[in-house]
Amino acid sequence: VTRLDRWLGGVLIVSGLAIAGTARGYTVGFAVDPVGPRVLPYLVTALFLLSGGALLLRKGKGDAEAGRVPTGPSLKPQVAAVAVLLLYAGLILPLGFIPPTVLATGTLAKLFGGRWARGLAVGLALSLGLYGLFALGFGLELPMGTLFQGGR
Amino acid sequence: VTVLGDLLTGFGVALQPINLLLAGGGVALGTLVGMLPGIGPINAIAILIPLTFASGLPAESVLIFLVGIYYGSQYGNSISTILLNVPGTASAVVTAIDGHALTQKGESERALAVSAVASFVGGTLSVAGLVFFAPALSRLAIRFGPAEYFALMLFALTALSSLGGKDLFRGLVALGFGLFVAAVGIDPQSAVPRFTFGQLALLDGIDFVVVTIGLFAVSEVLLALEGTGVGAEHRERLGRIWVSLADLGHTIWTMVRSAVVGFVVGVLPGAGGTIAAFLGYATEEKLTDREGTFGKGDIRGVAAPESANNAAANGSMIPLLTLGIPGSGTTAVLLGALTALDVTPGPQLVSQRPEVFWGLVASMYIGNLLLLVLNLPLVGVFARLLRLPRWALMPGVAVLSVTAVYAINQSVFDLILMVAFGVVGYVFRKASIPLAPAILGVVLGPLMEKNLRRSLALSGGDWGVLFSSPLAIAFWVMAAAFVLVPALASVGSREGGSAVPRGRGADS
Repeated sequence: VTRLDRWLGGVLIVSGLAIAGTARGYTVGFAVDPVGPRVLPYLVTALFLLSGGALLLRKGKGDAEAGRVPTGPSLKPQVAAVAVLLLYAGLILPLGFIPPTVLATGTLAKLFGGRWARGLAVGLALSLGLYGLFALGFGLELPMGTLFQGGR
Repeated sequence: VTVLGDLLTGFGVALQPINLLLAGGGVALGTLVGMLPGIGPINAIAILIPLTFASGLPAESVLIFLVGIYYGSQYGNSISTILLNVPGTASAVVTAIDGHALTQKGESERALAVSAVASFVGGTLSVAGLVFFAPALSRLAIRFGPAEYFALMLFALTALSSLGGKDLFRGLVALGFGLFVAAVGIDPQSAVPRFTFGQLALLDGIDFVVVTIGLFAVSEVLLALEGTGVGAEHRERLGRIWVSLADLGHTIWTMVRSAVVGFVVGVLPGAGGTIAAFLGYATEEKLTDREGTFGKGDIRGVAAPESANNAAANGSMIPLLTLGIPGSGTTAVLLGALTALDVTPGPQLVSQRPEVFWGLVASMYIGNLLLLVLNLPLVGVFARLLRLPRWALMPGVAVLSVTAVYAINQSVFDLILMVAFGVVGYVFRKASIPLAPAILGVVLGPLMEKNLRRSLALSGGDWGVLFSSPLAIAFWVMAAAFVLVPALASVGSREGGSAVPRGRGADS
């Protein structure tokens, strides 16, 4: 049982109650569906209360497991990676598929201890390869960038 | 005689050039993703789903390809395990014991060759089991009503939650999360929108591919940033990979017995490759380890888990295909793919879509043979790919994830959801919460809800209908056993432990 477990237990109980509260409003008048759309959310609530309660109340202090949960500054690369992915998602429509893919690969490669130039080179190869495979090979639409097309 | 006729039909499908190519490509790709840390079969299959749909190939061809990735990965796993002592997934942890000991003795070629042959034996024998048992189970399952299905799904979900992770409660966290994700969107039976938070994009619900790639692939990238575990490099040049007659004679019965153990474990929901490999190894250690060489580089210690986990992968196709009920994360993703292809796995599949069922079975014979033929000469090439540096591999996984998720609906919203699921997956991994029950919840949740509401509608709201047949009661008892036994055992103890060793990744 670690600090993360206690924290997670609390989150589960609160969200379990919130889910049940929201689901109370899900009603239908049909007699053919006696339990209606509430039953699945209620099951989720039951599972969250049970498991959250166990994580919160179980005895025992932090053990060997606790050291494996990174906190504070050691989480920096993960936070950076999440930011890169969100930015990537946000830029894909205005800039098109290829430029953000090159940039995201380069930045992520840097986070993994690679060199900028090499990361960007891998990104260029990857983005062209994936564009070829998805868009040209299989006809799946990947954005070309509204910025370059004068808005579409 | 009819089985032979059906199998011939199947080979007629599987031997079509396109399907041969897909089986070969599937197992080769499976070997690759099973070997490289950070991808794994579940991510590979989820990432490829948009491409396979866009290809316009018939359902049986798509299935031959995706299932090839699944059992191919069981073998690929052993390459990195034996050479680097880095099990790609939990099911290879047992192989690491004797496999890596053999590498340290300079006998990695021998270990790799026996591993390939064991995978072939386990794979082929278990396909025979599939041919024999799947039609029989179909005939039994055809009588299942909604109440039986509901209880059976509950059994599958609790079994995976109970066996899939460190303890039951952590499994239930993941299951609850998966069921919650399944509830998002318009309820198909009452048209009531649930948990859409005013987002139009959520009305259609959340695609299981987005959830899978987020939970597994994105969280794997975040986990890899911690820089622990992976990173070992293989430098030694491999010689010729060939199995000697002496090794074959020494291990053949180990392979056969482990195939049976693995197959049985694979058919049961929840258990999967890890427990199969563990039980196969433990059985052989009990039966044959008279000199006490297991654990010190005994070749049988490689043969047993490798045969067992391949057999388990094939065995897990039985509940998936004949009942429509997956027992693991990867088979859950396969169910999602099948449903999207308009194939409904279940008791009707064998009779109504014989080209899909028998085509797949026949292709599994061919695929296992191809796996052996490809791998004995090509292991050296695969092993060289293990030198791919992490700074190139992990960003590659991230970019592939983004591309695949975007390709499903051309939606940026899906990408943001994917990143959010990635963060959830990372927190879950840090809290030792298994990820597979979440995927099973996402895929089975709607089916379970439909069957529950249908049976209660038929009974006019009387809950007793759920316990009205002996079969349903049997499933309830088994489900209850999976909840109560570990719960009682872990309430008293400080930390609910498990007898089965766990790898870095989840047994997906």
